[in-house]
Amino acid sequence: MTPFDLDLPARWKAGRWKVNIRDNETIDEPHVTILRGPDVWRVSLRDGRFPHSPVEGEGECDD
Amino acid sequence: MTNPVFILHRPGAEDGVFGAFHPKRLSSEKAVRRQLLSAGTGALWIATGRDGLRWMARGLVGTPRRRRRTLLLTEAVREGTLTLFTHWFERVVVLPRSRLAGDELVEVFAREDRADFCIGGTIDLDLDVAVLLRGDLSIITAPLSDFSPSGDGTCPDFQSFDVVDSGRTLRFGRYEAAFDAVLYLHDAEFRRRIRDRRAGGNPLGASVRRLRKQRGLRLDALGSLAKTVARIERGEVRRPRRTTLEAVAERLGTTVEELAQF
Repeated sequence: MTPFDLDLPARWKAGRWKVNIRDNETIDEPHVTILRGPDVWRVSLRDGRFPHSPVEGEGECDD
Repeated sequence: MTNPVFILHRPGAEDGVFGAFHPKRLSSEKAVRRQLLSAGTGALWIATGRDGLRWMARGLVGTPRRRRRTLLLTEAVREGTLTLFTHWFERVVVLPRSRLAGDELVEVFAREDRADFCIGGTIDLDLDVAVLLRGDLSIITAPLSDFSPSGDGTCPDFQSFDVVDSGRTLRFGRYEAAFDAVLYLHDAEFRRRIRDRRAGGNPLGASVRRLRKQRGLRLDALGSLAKTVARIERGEVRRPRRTTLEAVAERLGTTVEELAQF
């Protein structure tokens, strides 16, 4: 675990979920990154929006 | 992959992670030469093991050089062998030792947006660069200075490099870097794609903030422009005057056009 990893329950980790603040993303507004396998979502720490996505459909959290 | 893909390995061997490419299997020097002569440009060739390398080296004898042909090697080869292959192929890619695990490689190779994933890489401490292999087998290079210490002082350990999170994250010891942040900085096409997807919001403010951060400038280092820049970044000034934009651009060491596009 890195200093900015959220300690998730083992069941979530096994499901490839991960929540952290990456170390090199300072050029974007402050945000937390949620990963599940190859899928990524970013949540703004200022207003809770999904600011942008590297993945098509990001921000449309459907499950 | 729409271009033909050939894999050279012993009869009965599994395609493994390359199964996602649906490759045509070749298991002899003769079969390799036949395809080298008939396959058009743009083909991807994958050579595995000693047999694959030998069939390829011998199969190339007497065949014409072709453009837009890529050779993927699953392990490092000797300098002479590499020289031979680089003569015949436009690109020769060696899968780095630091790379995704097999099941994650399969996952990336099967995706249409595979170019947005890192599948492996090498850190060159002499040149101070990270050479990163993307899922479409293209290369992107990032200066190590991109990975500045984190807010709590965590520094990247470049001696300890892994690609994790299915190719979304570069890990340097306890330091984790987002691969798409690297792409954003060094791939103009990726940057344009992300920007196009960012509808609404405060695009100018976000651009100014990104450029300022990339230059390593704190707001209070901007002197008389500090308050103006802060207001632009917060979206309180959506359409600054041209003279203001020029002053901000100059302070950030760029042009007004780049300021709006970054």
